[in-house]
Amino acid sequence: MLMRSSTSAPTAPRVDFERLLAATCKLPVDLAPIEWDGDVDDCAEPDLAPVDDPRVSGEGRRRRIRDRYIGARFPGAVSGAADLESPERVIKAARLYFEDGRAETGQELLDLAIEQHPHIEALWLAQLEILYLAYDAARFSERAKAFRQSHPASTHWAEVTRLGRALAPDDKFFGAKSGPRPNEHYGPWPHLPNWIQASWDLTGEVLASDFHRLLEREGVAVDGFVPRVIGKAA
Amino acid sequence: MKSGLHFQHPNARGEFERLRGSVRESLGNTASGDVVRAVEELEEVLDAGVRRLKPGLVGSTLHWDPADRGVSEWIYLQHCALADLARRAADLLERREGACGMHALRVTALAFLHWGEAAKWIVNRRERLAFGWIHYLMRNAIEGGCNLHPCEVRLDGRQRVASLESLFLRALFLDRFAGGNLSGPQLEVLDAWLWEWMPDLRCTRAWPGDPAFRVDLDGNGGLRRGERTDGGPSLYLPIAPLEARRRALIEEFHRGRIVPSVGVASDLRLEEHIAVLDHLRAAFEAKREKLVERKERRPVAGDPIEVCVGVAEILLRGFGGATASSEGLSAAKASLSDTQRLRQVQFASEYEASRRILRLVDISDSGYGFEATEKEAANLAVDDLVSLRLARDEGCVLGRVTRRVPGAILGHVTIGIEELSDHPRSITLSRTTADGRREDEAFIYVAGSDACGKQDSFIAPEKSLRDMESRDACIAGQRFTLRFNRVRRSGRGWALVGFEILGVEPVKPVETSVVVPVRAKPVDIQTTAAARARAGLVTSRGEGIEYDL
Repeated sequence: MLMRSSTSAPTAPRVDFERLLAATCKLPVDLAPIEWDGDVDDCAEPDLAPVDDPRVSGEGRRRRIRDRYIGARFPGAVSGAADLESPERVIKAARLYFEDGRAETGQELLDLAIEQHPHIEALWLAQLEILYLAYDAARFSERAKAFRQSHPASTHWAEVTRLGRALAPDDKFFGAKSGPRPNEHYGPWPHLPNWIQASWDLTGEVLASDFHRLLEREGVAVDGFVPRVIGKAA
Repeated sequence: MKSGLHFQHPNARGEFERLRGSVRESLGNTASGDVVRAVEELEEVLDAGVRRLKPGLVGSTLHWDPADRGVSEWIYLQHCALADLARRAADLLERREGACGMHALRVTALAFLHWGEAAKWIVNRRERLAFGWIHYLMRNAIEGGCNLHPCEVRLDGRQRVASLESLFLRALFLDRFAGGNLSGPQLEVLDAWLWEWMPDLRCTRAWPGDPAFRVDLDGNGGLRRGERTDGGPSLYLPIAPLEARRRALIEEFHRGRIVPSVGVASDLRLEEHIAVLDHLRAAFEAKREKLVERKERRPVAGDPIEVCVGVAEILLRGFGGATASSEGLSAAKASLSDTQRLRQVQFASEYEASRRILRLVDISDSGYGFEATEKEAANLAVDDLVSLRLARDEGCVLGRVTRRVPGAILGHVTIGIEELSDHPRSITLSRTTADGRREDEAFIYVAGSDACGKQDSFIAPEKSLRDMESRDACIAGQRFTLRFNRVRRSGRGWALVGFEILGVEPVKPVETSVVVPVRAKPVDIQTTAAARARAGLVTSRGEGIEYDL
């Protein structure tokens, strides 16, 4: 390995900067006010604290960092680890992220919630359904296997394997290819379990469409605040 | 010679420059070992001095004063100069002992190290021609078979070990992301991660078949994507290992750990880390492997355009303030008392003084390019929300600053703005507070591209996201109750939030004054005064100014 030369050749004389400077500098500079004593005391490798230092690896600090990370990563959806206590909230947020084309963000949110509450089956199932909808076969298989290990007696396992056969037909874990597959179902609605808890009716969609139409097409709303001066006498 | 200099002090900076100059002059007639030691001494002094300043400068780039800017520019120039000095030394020593001689290798590593460091401190235009010699040094190392030789370097007071190739790739990586898209703190975070990823910063000589970054060693360019087709000498950096590292970082955050747990980057806001995670995800995406045609830019005649910055300023001026300010003021002058006229002049003067006029230089389908002096663009940074009005008779356009880089002329900057909406609307939403009061707030409505309204959003100030209570919008005799439910994008002090509509009901007659603002309707002074107060737009001299609703 190439080490710093001062390490590899400790007896070598150091460069005499004063001499070099004297050779090129005509006006001597008073160095006293601009020099300092170096890194000896206040900068003695403070950033090399061992990782098992309680200040660095303390449980409380880790919780705070995790909490702050969750709030900053999913703003507006969840504000911290405490919000992961509500599976409905998490599943809804993950579904909205998926609908916005940010499936990875939704998956990360579900990952966090599952890490925190692995016993809540609904979180696993929502994650599997979103992976199915995103056609992510590799991750679906991986998470399905983890779900099986975590919830071996789940009554939803048959449904998971059905989705798995459709998404990853070559994966033996989901059983024979000849099992029932969702695309054998023909109809206006996808044959999905709705573990992502999407609304069954279209009220929200209709209202959103009305809102958009009123603001966009009919020009009801306008350009907003226009500063204008009026006098009390006017 | 003491080991540190206070670089805030101009004498100390001058002193360091003199030392550097003297080393440079003495290179040719100095023994190889002394050349290396002289460069090491210099970089040690620079590292110690910069290390003292770094936490303050990197942690507060938003609040840089001219002195901070001056020091940053100086640090950038010193790293460039030190890299150049090391490059000259490498050139000299390569002739004496070959490219893979112990001393030549050492100064080559220092050249790469400081070239990378310089990228983090760019204030003025980067001298991109230097890519030629950085590639030349790497070519020599590869030909000599020493490109993977581990070297020990010192940065921020810490000893680090990296191969020559890793240092070379780090420099190019930082340069790629230092093009105005990442802020100073974000570059510091990225660099901290790159040091952790050094074992995976390894190249292949042949196209790996998977997504990879590429360096053309016979060219004068930086890191790019895709396979080289003309058969020239190139290095490929596979992306998959880097993406795996990025995912591992996310898992560390899940466990409540910041990586690395020490150093300047570990003290920066988590939002900076998250911004870099997202930036890297976009950079690593496989779909970018294919060459994406750059949007065609149409140059324009450098028309001066007023740009409003931030949600509050956009709501106040962006939706028509520019035209109303002059016409409205003069029209109303006749009816003002002396006191009111004085206030009026005072307001107009402040208004004019704080206007931000930039020159529009090009337009593409996705955004706008501006040029301005440093002074004109002061406090305008990447991720700011802006509005601009391209013509008097056109509505305002809403955008986000995506790029700010030094311009072709010294003291000028080039600003890139991505268009978010070409017809945003301001809208007042009301909510009931915990103590039962009704409060109105102004937001900016941004329509989505589809008619179903699912992609519609509001631009909201960051502080509005603290509570996710429902809000009401009264439109065309109907009260829509809605609730923000996620942030789609965000920037400095603003967020583009998605929402859901919880219900709708007819507006009761008594509430008809609570409305979406409509231009040019008769103004009820009491109503507008209240609305103005609710929107937080009142100043101490506020009684002279009204707002059409």
